[in-house]
Amino acid sequence: MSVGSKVAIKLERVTAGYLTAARGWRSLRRRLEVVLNNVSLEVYNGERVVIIGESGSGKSTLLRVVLGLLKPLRGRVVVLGKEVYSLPWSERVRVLRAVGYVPQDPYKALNPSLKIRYSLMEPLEALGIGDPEGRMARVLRLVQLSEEVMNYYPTDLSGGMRQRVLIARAVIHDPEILVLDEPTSALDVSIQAQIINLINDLYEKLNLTVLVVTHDLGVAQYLADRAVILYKGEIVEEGFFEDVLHSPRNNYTKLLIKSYRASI
Amino acid sequence: MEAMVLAVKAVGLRVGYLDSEENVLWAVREASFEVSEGEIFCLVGESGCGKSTVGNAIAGILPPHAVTEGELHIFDRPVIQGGRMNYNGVRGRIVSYVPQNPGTGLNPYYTVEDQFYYVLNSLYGLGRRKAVEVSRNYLSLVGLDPDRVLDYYPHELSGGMQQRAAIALALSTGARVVVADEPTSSIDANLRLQLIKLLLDLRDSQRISLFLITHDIMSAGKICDTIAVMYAGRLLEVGRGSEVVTEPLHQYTRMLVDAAPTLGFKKALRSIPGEPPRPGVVVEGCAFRPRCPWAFEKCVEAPPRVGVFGREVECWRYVG
Amino acid sequence: MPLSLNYLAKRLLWSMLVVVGVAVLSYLIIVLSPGDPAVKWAGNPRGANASLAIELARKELGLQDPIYVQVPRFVVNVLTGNLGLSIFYKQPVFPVITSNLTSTLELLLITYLIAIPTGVLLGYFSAVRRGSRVDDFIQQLGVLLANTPTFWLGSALFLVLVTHEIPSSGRVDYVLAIETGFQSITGFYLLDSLVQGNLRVFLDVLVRLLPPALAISVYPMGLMIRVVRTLVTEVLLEDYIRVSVALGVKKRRILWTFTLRAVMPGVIQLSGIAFAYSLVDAMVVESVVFGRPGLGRLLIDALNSSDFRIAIGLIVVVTVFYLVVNTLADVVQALTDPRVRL
Repeated sequence: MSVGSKVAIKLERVTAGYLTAARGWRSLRRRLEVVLNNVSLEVYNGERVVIIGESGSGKSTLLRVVLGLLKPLRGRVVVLGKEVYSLPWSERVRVLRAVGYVPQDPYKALNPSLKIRYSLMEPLEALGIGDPEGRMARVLRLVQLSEEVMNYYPTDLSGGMRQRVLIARAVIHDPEILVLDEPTSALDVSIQAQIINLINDLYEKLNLTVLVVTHDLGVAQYLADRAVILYKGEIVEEGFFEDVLHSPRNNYTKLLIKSYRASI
Repeated sequence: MEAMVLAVKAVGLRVGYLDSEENVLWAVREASFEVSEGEIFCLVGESGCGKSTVGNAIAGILPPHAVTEGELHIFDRPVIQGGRMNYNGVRGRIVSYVPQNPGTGLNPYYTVEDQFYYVLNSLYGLGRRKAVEVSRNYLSLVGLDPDRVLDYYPHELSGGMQQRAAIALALSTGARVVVADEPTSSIDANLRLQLIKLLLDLRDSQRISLFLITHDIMSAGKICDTIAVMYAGRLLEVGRGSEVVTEPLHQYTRMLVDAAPTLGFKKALRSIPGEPPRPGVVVEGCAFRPRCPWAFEKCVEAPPRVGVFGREVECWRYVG
Repeated sequence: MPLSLNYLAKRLLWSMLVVVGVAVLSYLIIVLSPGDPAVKWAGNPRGANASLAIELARKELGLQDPIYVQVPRFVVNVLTGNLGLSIFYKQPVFPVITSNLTSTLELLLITYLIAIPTGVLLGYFSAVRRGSRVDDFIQQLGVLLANTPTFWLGSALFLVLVTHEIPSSGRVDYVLAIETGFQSITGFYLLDSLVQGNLRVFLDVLVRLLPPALAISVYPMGLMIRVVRTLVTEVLLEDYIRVSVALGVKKRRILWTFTLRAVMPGVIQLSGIAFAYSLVDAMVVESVVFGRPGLGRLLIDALNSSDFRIAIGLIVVVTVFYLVVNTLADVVQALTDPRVRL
């Protein structure tokens, strides 16, 4: 899978954060909480990039910025050549149609009152894409689920199967970029392996550019061409995964590697 | 051969729950194991295998509608015998518990200081001042500054601080066995190693026995003296930590190790086909048979436990 | 500080706005409903002095002024407690209302003093013996209590008492009060009689208070029985309770200290809401069944004599009552639940 020279996603000196209520009697004034600080990142077409960060690192915020959900306070966000936040909403949607998103918790990301088929069809309806039956069948085959899954409810499925459904839903509209938020954190080790293999399989088959956010170095090893270490809202290290693993330069990275086998 | 003091001993322990039709759903079908004093014992398994239930049984917090069979002894005290449970004088004094999720495991209505007080006062009748003294010791032990923690409510502390406070609280009871359900799962990398080191130090200095429940077999292999691999309510393999991971005997253990990523060596990730049986579902014969590459005719019967090279395995392939 | 000055200030501001809004609406009712507003404001007088009264009323309302002068003036009058003289009572409106308010309030407070502890205790019993016949019985009792019409219950109690010649109507035996030199200071007779050391009046007031209080208490009691059972059951299933058990905390402490603490915010909130609801119950039962002075009687008198001034005064007072009760409930919740920050 050759890496193209064109840039799929680019973040240029992005600073992002939220307004929160300040404590105490000054609560009339809102306080600005900066979560991402001057982050610059490039994801090239056809490559797999993993952002490694723990809770509080800003990784969820970074994903929101990339997905067009949170306008940064400073900096530019360019997806497939278009600067996302300078476009009106309708144009933005068209650009983001090229992105497929797999959210974090398979137990909470599917509407429990909808049968799987309706959850799968959501992106098609939203984007006005036709041939729902055909696409659904194809995409379920890709994630190795039987077609009858369509008629089940999310609670009938195990965690691993739900995660596959989420991945299926993320690729049903033929995106070019696949973004995954902690795709294996809620799953057991044996299922984790299945999902990792599945993601790589789809990467090859569908010619995707993959962006993954995870806290698990082991998972990152299997999903990364390049790795980006995020700590307290800043990128502290980046490079090809092997290089980062074998010659880490930043102390936090070294600590991450050292404590990998202490998840008791 | 000196007599090893057994901190925990389970013989044919079974734990189940009554469903709405008065049937028993067994979460733990058969567990027999021993934890020596001053040992770090890891119970490893995937979700739904019953490991948390075993932990609850040792800690004395099985729900009131739980049904038990078999025996569980803690320092020779029978806490479970057949259908009867008796934890008098055991909870807190002998066995302590660190919850998996400190956010919900600490009482949100009381400050950290209050929580120490209520525990120490209940157990040992300590007054407030003494309780605060004790709490200061243990908070410092886990790397927390007491002055920055005691007067705060749990939700005002970060996740890592909450977890460490929960550990300090559990240690302060003076228990000799600590049951911890994934204690470092919600802690940042910074502190994880520190905490592991702390647990190891405690084991060495105070001969505290640790009963750790985890899903990560590779981490268990590095830290634990003994590993027990649990699947569908049974212990499929029990043996020395390092050996079980480097030379697994049971197919399930081997596949767990194969499926776990190793950092630095990008082996092929082989996943285990199929899914573990849902908790409570009755299984005929060996629970792992449908997914096992070694399965043969004998496996339709429940395999006995056999001793192999100092380890215990439940598999027909090792019989005879 | 779980409570910020900022929050209180905002709350106060909004409350005042609500009162202003109610005052404006009331004014609009007088002016826009069919009929001459001055006549209404004068209380539909008849007889020789009718036209004089109407002219006075017209001046009071300032109907000759443009509307944007009338309304603010009226609102200011309301806020300063100046609504003129009541048609029926021939006394200034707000003092009349406040003196009757204390009567109803006293009744409500005693009611809740009975209802809440009983309901909570029964709810606790239910929860601790969950699934048993005791549990079922208590819960069914709760449903029965919550759905019993207070009017009926009050009347039944009254009949029983009257046939046994137990004093039951009114608020106090006035003859006894005069004989023993009882003075009303705060308006809360129980308090006043205790302060004055007047035990006979105290007992008399109490005996007359209990029957209506019991009648009104069934609704909040029934409510508490059911809600507390749910709350307690939920709390007992919480993680931190399990951890406390594991760490060796005594059962009694867990059941009472911890669980009560956890259940309190919910109980208080619910009590606040029910308290405001019970006001209506109280107004009906106290006046119609037991013949006590209070807001209920005021309402009846106002309606019977077309006394708009009292009526509007009542509306404003009841509005303030609801606002105060709700604010108090929220404030107390902030003080008792450390996770709530206002």
